[in-house]
Amino acid sequence: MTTFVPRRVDDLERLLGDPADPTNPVGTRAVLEADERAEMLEAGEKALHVFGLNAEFVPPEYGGRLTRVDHLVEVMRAVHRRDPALALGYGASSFIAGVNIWTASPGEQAARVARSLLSGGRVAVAFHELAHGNDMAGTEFTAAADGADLLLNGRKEVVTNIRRAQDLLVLARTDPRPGPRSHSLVLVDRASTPGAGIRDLPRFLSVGMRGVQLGGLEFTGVRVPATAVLGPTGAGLEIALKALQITRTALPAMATGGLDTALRTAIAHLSSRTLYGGAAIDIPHVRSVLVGVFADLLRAEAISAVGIRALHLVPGSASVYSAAVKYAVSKVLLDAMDRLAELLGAHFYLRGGPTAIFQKLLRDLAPVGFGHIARAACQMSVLPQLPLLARRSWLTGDSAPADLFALDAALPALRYDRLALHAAGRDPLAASLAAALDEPWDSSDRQLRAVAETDLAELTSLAGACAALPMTELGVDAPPEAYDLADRYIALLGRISCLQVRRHATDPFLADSPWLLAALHRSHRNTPLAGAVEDALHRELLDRFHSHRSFGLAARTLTLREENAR
Amino acid sequence: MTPGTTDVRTWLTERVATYLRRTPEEIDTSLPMTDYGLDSLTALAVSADIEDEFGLVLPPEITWDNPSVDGLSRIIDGLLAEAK
Repeated sequence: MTTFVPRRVDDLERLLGDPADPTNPVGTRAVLEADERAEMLEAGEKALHVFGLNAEFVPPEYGGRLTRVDHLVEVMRAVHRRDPALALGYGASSFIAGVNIWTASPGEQAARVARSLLSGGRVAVAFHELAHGNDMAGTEFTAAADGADLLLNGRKEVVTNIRRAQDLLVLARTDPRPGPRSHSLVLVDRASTPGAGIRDLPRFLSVGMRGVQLGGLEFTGVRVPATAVLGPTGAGLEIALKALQITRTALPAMATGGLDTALRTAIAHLSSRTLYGGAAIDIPHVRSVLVGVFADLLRAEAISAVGIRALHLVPGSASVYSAAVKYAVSKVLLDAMDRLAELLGAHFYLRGGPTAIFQKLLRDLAPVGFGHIARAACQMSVLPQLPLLARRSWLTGDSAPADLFALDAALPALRYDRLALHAAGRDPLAASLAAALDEPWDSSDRQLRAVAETDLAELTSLAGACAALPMTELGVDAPPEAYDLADRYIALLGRISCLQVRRHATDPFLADSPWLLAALHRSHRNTPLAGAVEDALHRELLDRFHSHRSFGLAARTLTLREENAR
Repeated sequence: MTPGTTDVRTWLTERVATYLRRTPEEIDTSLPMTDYGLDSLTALAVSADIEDEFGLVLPPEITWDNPSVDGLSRIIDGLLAEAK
């Protein structure tokens, strides 16, 4: 048993029961029926309440279980595997709000929110305004000082659980002047706030995540005490940008659970299907695509794992790594879902029958690319950091501590106060490549070493291109060529992450080469894998399928069928 | 570069003026640089220049909290005096 999977995930799996059991109120059939009704799965919410899922979002100093982000992510992957809408609609919004609150101000407000969450309450993140998207500085909602009070005016739109949450975390303009110190976070306690000036907007219906309650509120002269501001007045953007580093790392990492179920659904379908006189799963191309998706899932989790560990170990660089994780992992997941859909043919489109969960997962996974923060916004946030990262770190900087890659190593507590607006050119992850090549390598790893040397040549070439870039021209109007440099850099971070996870692995499968060779191959080519690599991964894939183990890094045993057999 | 408010401020005014494509004389050092259209990227570039020029490590939010040339110069002077 690896230490990056907490034992309580098994308790959660047991509570959720066998997904294949048609009488299970939290089984796949019930999940699909709730989706058809565009409702949250009520029995699922109850199960998560019994499990005390909200405690996963609360730091230990406030009585919760949020000690390690990798543990939180493994718990949430189990929920995603069942129903991504349940994960987002029950959990994610309270998690995002919580991270902002813990980042903003340790103190009485944080303690109050923690108590509410621990008793099953919800907090909604009222940041979004349709007119401004991810351009948070454009926020128009105002909180104007009026004596000892604040007057709230404006609209918040497409916000999860905004109608049913006990608390709202509102991003509001507290200063009419432009600039980074003109916004604040305001914690609105619905119970003690007069409801007269608050109007519910109609629910926003969506293509995927259909059960999630996306709503909006319009405030007209709503009075809250000035003490509702979290942290210093004017610190809203700073807090939001720091908290975002934790959430945009964790949320895509959780979403790999959906791909796990999609891959399982595809294998089950293709195993039972006879085409052209044989089992569909034995067609060489089908086999090749399935193995490719398996490698992609492992790659997505390896990239996530390093990003998650960086939050604990090198939080000062998380502004860069979190954007890279969101950008890279979301794309891997979306592409993998599309390739599975091609294999399933018409069966990816049917809303009934044994593959019906697939069309829901395809729709539910789409927001990983734009929800919370868009991929493009992440790419934009990496761009201006490239020159300093290149000059100060890539070829000469301090390498990362080994614990960044040793998945089973202990992690220090999260230090919200060590998150930084930018990395100031510190990039221990990229710098670890040159350092790794300076160390002795096992002779059996000659092939891997050659790949790593090619990557170092690419990093060297990229450093030459990036070091010379004028930082001031890397804003919204940056030339399209600059975006390619960000893409090349993020791809390298992903490749280095996978390589380093393998070099520091203790698990026999992860310490072996096939998954890594496949992951590195697939990070820049969509062509078939080498025969021996494909064979090794194919064996592992089918073994995990038949023994009901997850397809990600943890390879953990899922709900035990025999325990739930009726 | 020798530390001292005047020298630091003169140097910084010239850097900021270059980024803003203005002459140093046009910059009122008491006003927030954002009033001249200095955006967050230029602020990042300016703080990187300061670090490189003076061998300092600046807190990332320094230009947010000290938006004028005068304010930023005072902070740099303080850090240089500490480093002595």
